[in-house]
Amino acid sequence: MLDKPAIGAPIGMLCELTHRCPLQCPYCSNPVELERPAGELTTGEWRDVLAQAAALGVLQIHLSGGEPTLRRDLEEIIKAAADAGLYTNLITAGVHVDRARLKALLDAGLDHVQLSLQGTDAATADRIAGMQGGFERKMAFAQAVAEEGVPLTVNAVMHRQNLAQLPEMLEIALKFKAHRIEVAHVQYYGWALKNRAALMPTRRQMDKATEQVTEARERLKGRLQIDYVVPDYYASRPKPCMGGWGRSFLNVTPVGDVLPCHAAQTIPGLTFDNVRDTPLKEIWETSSAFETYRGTGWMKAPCRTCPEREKDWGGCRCQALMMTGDAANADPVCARSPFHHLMEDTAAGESERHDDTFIPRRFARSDA
Amino acid sequence: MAELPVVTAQSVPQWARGVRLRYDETRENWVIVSPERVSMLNQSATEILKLIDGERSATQMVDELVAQFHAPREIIEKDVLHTLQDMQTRGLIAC
Repeated sequence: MLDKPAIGAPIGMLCELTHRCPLQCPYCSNPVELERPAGELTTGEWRDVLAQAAALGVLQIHLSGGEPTLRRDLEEIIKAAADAGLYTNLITAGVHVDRARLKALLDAGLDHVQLSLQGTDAATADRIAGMQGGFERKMAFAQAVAEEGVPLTVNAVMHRQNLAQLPEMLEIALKFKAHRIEVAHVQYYGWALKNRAALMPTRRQMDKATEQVTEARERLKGRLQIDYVVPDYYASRPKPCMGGWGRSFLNVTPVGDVLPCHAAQTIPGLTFDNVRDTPLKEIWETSSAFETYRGTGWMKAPCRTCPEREKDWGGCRCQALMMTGDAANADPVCARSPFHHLMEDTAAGESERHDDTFIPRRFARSDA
Repeated sequence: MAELPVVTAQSVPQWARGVRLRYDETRENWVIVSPERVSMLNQSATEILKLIDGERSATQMVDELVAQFHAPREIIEKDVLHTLQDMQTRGLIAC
């Protein structure tokens, strides 16, 4: 095939160790159909996957969930990663990690912690996360992280119901000596899509947040790095989702399925290979899920001839599917997409609704 | 806030916590791994940054590079200070 790309080695791997989580955030990035604990990869299977990943060229792993610290073997998994030379990033809610556990994780070789915040006061944060007392526990964890001197990124997930707290989010990051904060507007897939009308910020809110970030970046230069994810629905250029499908990143689910991005299972017709059956290298290089949207050969107009096609890689496949019905269309965030108007129309309509009720992220009721 | 200190010949650089220099065998290149980021290094930056050990000053780093590469001292010194300043601005080293 003319546009068949050379396959480089992946740099990062997201390891979803479990879908169990004490929080019920209504924008959780996990799939709506959560994986049951019984099917989770074992310690030994993760060890093997990590060694394969390092051999394949992966440099960084992100230990995520669900809540990864619910895995009692997290220390062993971190140690296996560190032994393989991998840089380890723990993405946690921080509500179940006391000082002793934190030290054990650091002793195992943990390099960096990323702590999610749902709000800047207990009432807001606990309501959004659906866990009483969660905020207080988070603050205690952040304090322990600061005292241990662990490199910390605060992940502030923002939406209509907490965007007014952005200045306090920055203050919390400074207080706990985070060197970096991700001000991440919710991305609307899966659970967040179910809750979109309760989460979508107004244009006015969004513009104010952008102003605040611009001001804070200047004021805090050299002290706090602020990464800002603009909400897609108000943008006009698509993000290079995952840095391009199957170009530098892979995701392993709790049961060992290997995905090009964590939301890839929302695209019907894709089949995913599993580390229990197939070597990781073979999956990366030949799995049909990776091959389907790798490079530019799959693109349609307007992407196919667009000078930006190797910069944004057509944006997000999942969003293209969700909003246009075809995952091979341009991401409608792009102003060149004939579906672009749908984004702001949707945002404007939903953000002005006054219903703030969430559908909480949970395992299906039949499972309870 | 106070401005970051300017890197001088007397500065003693050290890696920031959570930042590592390593050889990437797959890509046959030295890289810096840091929170959420991987930076591929060119050869000149590699030779400079390999000398960071928390004890050597920038001047001592220059001495070693001059001995190793037989290039004019002014050029190497300029390159070292520029590289260290850039690394400090990006929060990857402390001086």
